[in-house]
Amino acid sequence: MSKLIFHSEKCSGCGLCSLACSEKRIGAYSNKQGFIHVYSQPDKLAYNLEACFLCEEHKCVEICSTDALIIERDRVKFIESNCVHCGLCVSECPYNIMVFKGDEPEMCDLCGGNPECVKVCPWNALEIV
Amino acid sequence: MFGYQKRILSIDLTERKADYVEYGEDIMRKYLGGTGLAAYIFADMVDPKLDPFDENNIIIVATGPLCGTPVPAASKMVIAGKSPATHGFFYSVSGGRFGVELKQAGFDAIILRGKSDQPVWIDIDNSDVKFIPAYDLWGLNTFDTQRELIRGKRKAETMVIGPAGENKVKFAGIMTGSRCAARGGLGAVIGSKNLKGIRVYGTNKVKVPDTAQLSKWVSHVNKCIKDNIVLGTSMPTYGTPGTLMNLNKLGILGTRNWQSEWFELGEQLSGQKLREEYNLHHTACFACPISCSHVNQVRGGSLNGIKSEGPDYETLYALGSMCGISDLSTIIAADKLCDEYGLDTISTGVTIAFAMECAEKGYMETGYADSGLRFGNNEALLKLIPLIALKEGIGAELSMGTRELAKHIGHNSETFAANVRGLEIAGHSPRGCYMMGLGYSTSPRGGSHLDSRPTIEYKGLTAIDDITDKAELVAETQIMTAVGDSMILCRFTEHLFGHTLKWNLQNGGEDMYATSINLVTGWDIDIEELEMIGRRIWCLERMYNLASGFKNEKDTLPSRFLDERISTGPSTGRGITKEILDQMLANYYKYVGWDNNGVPTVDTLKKLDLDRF
Repeated sequence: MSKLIFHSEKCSGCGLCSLACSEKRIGAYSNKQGFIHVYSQPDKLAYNLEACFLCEEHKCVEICSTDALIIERDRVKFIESNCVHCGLCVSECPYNIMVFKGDEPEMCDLCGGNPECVKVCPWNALEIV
Repeated sequence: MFGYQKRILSIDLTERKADYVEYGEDIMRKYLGGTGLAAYIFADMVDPKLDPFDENNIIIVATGPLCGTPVPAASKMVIAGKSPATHGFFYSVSGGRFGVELKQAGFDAIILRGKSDQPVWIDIDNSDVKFIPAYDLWGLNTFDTQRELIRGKRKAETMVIGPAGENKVKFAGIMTGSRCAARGGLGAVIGSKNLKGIRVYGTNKVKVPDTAQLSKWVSHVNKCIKDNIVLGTSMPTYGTPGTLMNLNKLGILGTRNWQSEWFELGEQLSGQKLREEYNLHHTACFACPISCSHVNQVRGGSLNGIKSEGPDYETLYALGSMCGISDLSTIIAADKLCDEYGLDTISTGVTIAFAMECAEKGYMETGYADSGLRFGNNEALLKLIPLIALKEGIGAELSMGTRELAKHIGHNSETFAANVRGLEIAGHSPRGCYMMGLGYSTSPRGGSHLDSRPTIEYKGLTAIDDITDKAELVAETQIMTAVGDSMILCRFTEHLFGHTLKWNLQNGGEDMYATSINLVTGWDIDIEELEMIGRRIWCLERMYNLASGFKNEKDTLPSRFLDERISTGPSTGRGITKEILDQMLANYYKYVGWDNNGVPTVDTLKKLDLDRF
């Protein structure tokens, strides 16, 4: 599996990545219903981008007591048969990136290796390695 | 109805209540959103004679149908109200992300009514609206206020006023992120309602009929942007400051309160110098691939470390050449102060420049002349901005803006007070570009450069000395901007979508305006319908403002521009006389269907379906 890398110095904050992601996921536009969020940081005169970069805490994986989430090849993988639908993984995600699909968690799978967010970025601020 | 959320949030600050109103598809198709929708609501709800600070006055925050979609340069928002500067219907457009967040909260717009009896801020979390005391925020600058508002909800977006809005300075703006809905003093109207700001958080979606079709269109437009020399190269590299040296070389850069139109120190303010010595990083509005905005930082000297998003061209003109200031570090610091205190940089700079000329002519009272008011005084500029926002000392007089200040000073100083209808004019010469001369005169906002445009003349697409086509060009440009500010499109799209609605079609290109609207809404608007929408909105603004008091004032320019020719630089001798302006006005009134006094005829109103107003 590939890894998503963010070059913050190149990012303009336009959020086209978030729209491309939501378009693919829900067939409409939202910068909260995709797996990549961009928002203002007014006092820093900048924008922040959050996505699943596989944070060091792995909180979603750590909190899951039934091993429904595991780390596999640098991504969080969902094992549906183990899920008891407690929702703790979604609520524990420090970046609010993991979402519910029905009563199960849904997470970024990098569009199978060719992510829409990377494709639409006008400034090559997102990269897949 | 695609592209819209079909709900408007109606907030009563007096009663601290929020409810929702719906406007049907018929209204949206006639007025689109943004400015058009705001003008319709104003005409429907607000007595034109109402004082801007009357609690029955309203503020509208409006998005457009394209907001929140990936259509490029189309996710801005409009803040509209009665302006304390012009006393007419006014709107200011801002970039940033508040509009997108509002739409994702499920609303196309907010109507703010009434007045809170104590400082308050409003928290909108999707459909949940709360009123929260703002005693602890009152007096804070715009950035500190926004930091406090997003504490605990970091992905929310905010719009706030600073001390200038609290103190009802006539050119106080509204900051949203590091962008500003700056013009017309609408920040003062919000301050008069004891409203410090709004935080909005939304998790809803914006739906269009066919995302695949829209994506295909957006990819095409984005490629056109990339291939366009202005949008794809100049703007991302230099932003609007790249314009400054071009205008200075043409000799049409407002300098020292328009006493001159050539700044001998202009090289010091060039876009190239700003880029090479101050640039930190670029920023963009939502869903915009152009990225015209740049954060700049002072490196070295007494102002070391100060950074600001900007200055853009208009700020370089107003706080720079107009004040005779050539130090970019000072202008970056002044730009930052204006943002912190919540002031419009154009009106701030033009008002200070006017006071500098008055001081140098000896028109200011004793004491004021000692305040350092003279062209080229960097320290005075930085001292005056907080004084204006806080209405302290000489700042109290300057906070009135040039029109009122000229009355206060006397000595016929209104002849060189650079405002139209009370709004300080932007950095585009009415003497150098006749389209701007006629444009400022007929704009519902007065001295705004965003209604009529100078671009056709800058690009050499019309003969600058031939007045025969100017009335039609100005009218068609204004009709385009009325549609553009209702969609809501960034004005830079004119380089691609066309300088008028029909521009592309007349030049063998494609209709990008109607196509963008139709792919988002599912409508089948054609160019004739779009033209009618633009004329309707433009005419409605005119009607409302005539009733607000504009009918007592002629459409004209400050005497300096009509009586004095450009005296130095490459355009020496050029001018726009009263005769030229009157001839253009007569042609213009005829073209837009207004009578000899500039009043829309009954026939025109009927054609535009405005006769009920």
